[in-house]
Amino acid sequence: MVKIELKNLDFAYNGSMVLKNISHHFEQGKLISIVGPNGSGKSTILKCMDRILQPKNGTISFDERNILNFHADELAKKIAYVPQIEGGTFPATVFDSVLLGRKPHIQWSPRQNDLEVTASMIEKMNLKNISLKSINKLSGGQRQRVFIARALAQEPEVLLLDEPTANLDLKHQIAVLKVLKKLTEQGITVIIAIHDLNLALQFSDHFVLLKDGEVFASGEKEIITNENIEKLYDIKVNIIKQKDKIFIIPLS
Amino acid sequence: MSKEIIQEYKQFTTRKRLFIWVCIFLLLLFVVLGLLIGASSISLNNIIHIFTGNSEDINRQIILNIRLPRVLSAVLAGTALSVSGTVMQSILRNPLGSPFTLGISNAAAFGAAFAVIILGAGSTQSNVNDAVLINNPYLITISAFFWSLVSTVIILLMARFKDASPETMILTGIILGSLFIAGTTGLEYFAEDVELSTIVFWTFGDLGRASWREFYILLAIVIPSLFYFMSNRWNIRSLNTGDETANSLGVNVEKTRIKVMLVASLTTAVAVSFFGIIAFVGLVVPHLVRKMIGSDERFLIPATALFGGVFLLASDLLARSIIAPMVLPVGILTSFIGAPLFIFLLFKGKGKGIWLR
Ligand SMILES: Nc1ncnc2c1ncn2[C@@H]1O[C@H](COP(=O)(O)OP(=O)(O)OP(=O)(O)O)[C@@H](O)[C@H]1O
Ligand SMILES: [Mg+2]
Repeated sequence: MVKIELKNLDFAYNGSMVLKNISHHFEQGKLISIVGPNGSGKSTILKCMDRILQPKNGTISFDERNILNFHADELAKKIAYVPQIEGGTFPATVFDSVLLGRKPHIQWSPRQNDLEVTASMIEKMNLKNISLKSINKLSGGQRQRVFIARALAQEPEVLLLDEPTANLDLKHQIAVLKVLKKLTEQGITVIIAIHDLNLALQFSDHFVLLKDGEVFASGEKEIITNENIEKLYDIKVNIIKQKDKIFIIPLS
Repeated sequence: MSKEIIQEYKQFTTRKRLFIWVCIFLLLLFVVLGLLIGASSISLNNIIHIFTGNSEDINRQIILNIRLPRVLSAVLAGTALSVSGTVMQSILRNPLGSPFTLGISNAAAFGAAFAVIILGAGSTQSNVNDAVLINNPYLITISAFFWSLVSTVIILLMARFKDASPETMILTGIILGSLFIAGTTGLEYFAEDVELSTIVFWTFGDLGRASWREFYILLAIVIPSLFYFMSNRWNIRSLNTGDETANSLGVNVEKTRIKVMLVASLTTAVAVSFFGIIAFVGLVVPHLVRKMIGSDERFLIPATALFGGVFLLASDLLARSIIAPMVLPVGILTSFIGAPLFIFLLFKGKGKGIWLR
């Protein structure tokens, strides 16, 4: 089933075209990796999907309904987004930051259920020992896990994550992707922008290769070929297949 | 396991609630002190009599028509300035973002000067006892309020035409502030001695101008705006995490920022137009409270509202008694307390930022 569909999407920052005529549909319950060089438009496409940026042309629909027709709170219950970089000025505690993810569900004050969801996401992201620490006193990776936990606390149907593993250590990279993978089993659609191809290969169901604002190729693992990678990044790689796993090693 | 986390969090918020109760207690305490302290000594017993019975003496006049409106207006003005400062810091994500740094006070001062010099609100005749006679205080208040609004509207228009980013608002505010200072200086150049002293006198924030009329107008503005901020506290909190995150949490970023900005400016403008420039309250109180209970707007907004009231009331008490029987304008005192306090907070939080728990 199609969860999010992009049709002829154009996006420009002050006149310079960043996304060019993108049409693509994202299937429900899949973990989809958007891959591409720096500046290829990965972050931009995610922001368009959460209505943070308005495309110049084209439409984005969620369950076949144009996202422009959603009320802000309604959309926030459906789609959660974790930015690549986030900076608040007056930091809150870990618990409060994650609790903020409940905002679309909270009328006036958080209820017991909101606290419970918050606590369980804190556990899921392995933050329980620091749940009352101020987030400006956390390491980059811990902070990133807080923001992921907040998005999880939104209990959305679609999760958009911009480089969720960028600051994480080896253990937490795997842990976070496992959590995301598990969410897809519950029917949640997870779309991530990611640079680590090996990690992406290990966990994703689907790939979208983005180059210069255009979808260059999309599909399952099979599209990750020497040829495509070389075209995408302009470097040569070695692709090693080991049992059912694929590894990519850049050649210098 | 997750029970523990929730338990801990509840204890954590209980401490914040406790702080709010302490503020309420302090507020009541200082209100009573405010009624007790003054040029003529009136005992607590006497005051209780005044409120319960109907003793028709001069003390009744002093308490009901002078001290009470002054004390209550001090509380409301302190609340107005502090809460506006708090929400502006949060929505602009800037520790210096307060209605004062955004030029409201300068605009109001310009408005006062405008009323005195162009509209002739200040008296040109002086008598021996009182060099400064303000013929028409309401004209000054109205003009001050009008010009505060002009500056707010310009900031919001800039936000509308360029973007409603914190940077645009802060830079426009600061530039406007300097423009109004230039305007005031320009007017003062053409002023006569008495007009000049009228302007200067107005500029000192002074709660001595408070009567019931001021109190009721303040009440009608401050209470609804407090309610507005409280009902927007989740939005304000989201905005502090960044526009993109706020957006994905369902906040209409630009609309919220513009509306909160407008309400905060209005609230400040009313207080400033009545009482003149009471510096630093809107800047220091939010930082003090943030330091004590953290930056969760759910608790921060009511806590700064109360603490701001206590702070200005206590300052005014000090101003009334420090060189008694003379009364110091409270604005001078808040500057003397506020500036060092701000620097202290700055140094104490060195490396962590001043606004942290
Ligand atoms: N706010 C902005 N204003 C103008 N141009 C922008 C803005 N943000 C991004 N761009 C441009 O848009 C293009 C796509 O940027 P985007 O952030 O989507 O890339 P990305 O694929 O996420 O890159 P990265 O891998 O570095 O995160 C880049 O050329 C970038 O310079
Ligand atoms: Mg990016």
